[in-house]
Amino acid sequence: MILVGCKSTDFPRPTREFYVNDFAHALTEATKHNIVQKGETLYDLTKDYEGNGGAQIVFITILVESVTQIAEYNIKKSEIFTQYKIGKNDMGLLVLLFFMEENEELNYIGLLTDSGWQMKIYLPSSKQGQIADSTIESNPDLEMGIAHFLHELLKVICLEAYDFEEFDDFDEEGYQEYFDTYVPDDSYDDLSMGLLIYLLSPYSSIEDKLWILIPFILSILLGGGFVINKGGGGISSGAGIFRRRR
Amino acid sequence: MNKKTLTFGVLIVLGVLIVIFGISMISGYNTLVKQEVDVDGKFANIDIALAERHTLIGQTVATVTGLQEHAEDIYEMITDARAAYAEAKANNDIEGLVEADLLESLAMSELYALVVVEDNPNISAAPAFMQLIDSISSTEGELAYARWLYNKSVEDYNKSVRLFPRVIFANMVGFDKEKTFWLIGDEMTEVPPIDFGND
Repeated sequence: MILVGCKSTDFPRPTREFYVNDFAHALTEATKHNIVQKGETLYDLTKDYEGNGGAQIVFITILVESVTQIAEYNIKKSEIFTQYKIGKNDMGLLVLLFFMEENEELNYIGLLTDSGWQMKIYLPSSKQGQIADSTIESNPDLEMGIAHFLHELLKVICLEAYDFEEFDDFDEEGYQEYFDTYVPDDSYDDLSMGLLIYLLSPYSSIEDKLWILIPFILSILLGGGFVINKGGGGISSGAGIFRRRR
Repeated sequence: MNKKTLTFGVLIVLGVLIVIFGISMISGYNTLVKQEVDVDGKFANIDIALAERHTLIGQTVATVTGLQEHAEDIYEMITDARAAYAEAKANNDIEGLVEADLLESLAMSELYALVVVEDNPNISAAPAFMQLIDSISSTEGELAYARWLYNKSVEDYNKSVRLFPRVIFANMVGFDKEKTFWLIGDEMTEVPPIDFGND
């Protein structure tokens, strides 16, 4: 049954957080937490809107060996988008951030975006390009640039798609303080480890072990494991922007 | 076993075979219908994206000053590409559309290189040029994905229509023997992506 449930793909499955997939290990914990928190909030606030509810913005970091490798993701980004099923009602946006290792350092070299069919109406590529140029592409501090980029994307989506009356301007000082003082929250990992230790412990009863194992096995068979967030079912339109750091 | 029983047994077996064959034919017919509709739907996505790019090219060219006077070859390239698309569209000529697709894409690459990369002092572009370039680049992405999906659906159809026993009745009931792939050219499997990275 487990084998029947498996499907081979070229690209890794989304992480349990879903909104950030740092496969290049290039982002700080603070940045990842910010992206996940904003993503969860956006989805929770918009999922009940009729017709266009459930917007999702997903970030993926990818390590490449050369700039020309980015072109391989021209179509692949749409496959990844559809695999991850980003956004309910096709209100999804995928952001691929590309990194290259130079002198033992990871350097940001470019981005590609891909929009769901409905998302591209509210956040057209020309707008995405303007936002990228004024935020992530013009800020030497990548962490702040990503935060600013995400903030402006959220602003446009909330004001244009969901008729929010207002949306705060980007607070750079506030974000700097957040990045400087952020402490990772490991409580979820602690809970998982605690359950595992209890499962293996000779002091837990057979009944207790079954109560832990059965939901875990069911979640693997039906949902791919213990995920915190998942895609809303969206399909890619193929539309998006490309930016390369020069 | 007497003759009656034998005959009855043969008829039962024949009946079962006919039912199985019939179900197979119906199932095969329905599959071909779905695949043909899928091919048409994927083609429509290409058509929409081509029309969008065609419009955007017109808008983009309008933002550039000095093109006709100082870069006549590129101006003619764009004009010819647009004319090729319009003609192919009017005549419902798929091969013409494929060719026009490539021509318009290459024309935009040249225009971008002329305005942004070469920095020709005789050519100037309004601020809206870069926004329109982003829109065209985005449409190129849509087109690339739409072509890929279309070719996948054509591949599935072409395989399916040759399977036995569908191949027996496919032609009789009006299904195409095969659909045409969206092939850019003899040596190219995909339109080269336009590098619209910021300078």
